[in-house]
Amino acid sequence: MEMEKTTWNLRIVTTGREPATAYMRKHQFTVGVPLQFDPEYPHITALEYALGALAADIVGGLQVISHRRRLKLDNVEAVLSGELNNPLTYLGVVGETGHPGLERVNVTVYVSSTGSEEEIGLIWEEMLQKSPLVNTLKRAVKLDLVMKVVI
Amino acid sequence: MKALPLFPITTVGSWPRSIELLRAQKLRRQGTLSEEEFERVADKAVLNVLRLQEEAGVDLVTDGEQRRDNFYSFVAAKLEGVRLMTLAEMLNLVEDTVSFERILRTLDVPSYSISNATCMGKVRRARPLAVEELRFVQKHTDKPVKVTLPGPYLLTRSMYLSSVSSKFYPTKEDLAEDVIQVLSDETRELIEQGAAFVQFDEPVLTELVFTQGQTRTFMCAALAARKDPAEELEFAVSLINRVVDAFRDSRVGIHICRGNWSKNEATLLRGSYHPLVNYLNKLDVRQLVLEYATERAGDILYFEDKELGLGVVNPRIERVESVEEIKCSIERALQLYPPEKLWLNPDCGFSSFSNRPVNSSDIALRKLRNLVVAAQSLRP
Ligand SMILES: [Zn+2]
Repeated sequence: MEMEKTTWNLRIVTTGREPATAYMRKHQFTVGVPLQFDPEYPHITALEYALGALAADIVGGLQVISHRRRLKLDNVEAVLSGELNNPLTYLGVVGETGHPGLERVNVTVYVSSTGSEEEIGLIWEEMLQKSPLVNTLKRAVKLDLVMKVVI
Repeated sequence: MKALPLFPITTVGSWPRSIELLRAQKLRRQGTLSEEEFERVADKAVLNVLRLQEEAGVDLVTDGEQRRDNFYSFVAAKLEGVRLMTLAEMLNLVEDTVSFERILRTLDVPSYSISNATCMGKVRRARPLAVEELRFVQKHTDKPVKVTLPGPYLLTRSMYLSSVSSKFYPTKEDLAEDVIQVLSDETRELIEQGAAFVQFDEPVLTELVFTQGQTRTFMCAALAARKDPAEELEFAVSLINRVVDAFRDSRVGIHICRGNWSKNEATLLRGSYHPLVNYLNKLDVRQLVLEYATERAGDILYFEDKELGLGVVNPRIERVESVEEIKCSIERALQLYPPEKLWLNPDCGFSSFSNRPVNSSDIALRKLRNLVVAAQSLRP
């Protein structure tokens, strides 16, 4: 396979002021600091983008796979929470130990469909096998994924 | 109509829906099932719920709220100026998005699965809210019928979403005027049609007094919390009294609980009715339908000149309360209330939200049966 087909490129630019701007293909988006504790912080943090991307990988993956299998999913919604091993390490608090990365990520995915639980279960299994971010992150973090079928 | 026995037994309204009915509700929402087809499935479900109540020995029956998506949002289909909005659609529009998200997490449901009736125009009755449903039940039972309706405070509070409602009503107080009109007209027609009991559900009154820092339900989430609960409670009392004022000769009641959206007792509100006593005493209603089977409700309190609809079984736990246990609860209440003022019921409905029943129909039925046996053993 050619290199271009397996490589994705983007550029991210900071000008000393927040937020940074990421450019990819014909698109762009802005990103704030790596992580923030202030709920009023005006930008989306890098950590939030990463978690959002993982959740989108899951719900989007389910939709794509179900489409391929010709089963309509009426609604797919995920609720995610990610827990850092020790956020104080990132802040540089003296004496804090532990690694600064994500310790665990819990995702609950709600699916509504006229299909049977078995059919939905097959789509879920295929998503787990094929989703790029799920398969990247499960090597690095405790990834706890639960699917609930909702009428 | 036959005279009611001592300790009349009712339910608080809702009954778990069959899978068939849930699917029909969903297809109707998606527009792929005709109104007639839906009514056919719902009629069958209502008849089943009626038979169950009759077999159990309930004295006043309800239609189990089978046609409703949930205990208050169903009004959207009956009112002009009100549209169903899923909580997913509301995520962007609520004032306090952070607590809204917290509520959704506690509910453990997807935001698309719960709908709120939201004010998006001038509110008027396009059709009666429950008169047709009452007629249907009356046609199929000899028992007196109780009709449940969302109370005026709940409706005003939950329907008002500033970003879309303020064009039509500058404040929720302005919206309340039309809500009062709707509910007064409805109550009059229900009573004329022979409803034996009209019950208004006001589950969010407890939120006003118990939620300092705790989870609020989504029904209250559209509006940012007001600082002073006393002011809000006075407002609620005035709305209820303006609706019920003309019907003092009829049996109108108010049901107040601490939430019925989770089986996890720890996530529901906790606290005695004590902070509400002064307000509840001011209500011009004949009956207060209160939960007491959960220890979260504290001790039984006395309310002046009112019947007590005593909650004696908890709809949210799977264990079926024994006849002895229920008799003990009734005897406790009899220390405060004369027997003729005492009515019996579960603490709340068994499925306030159609897709979130708190128990199976089978367990609900076993609870009602024990309730009836306990009442019968105490009747002269
Ligand atoms: Zn209730």
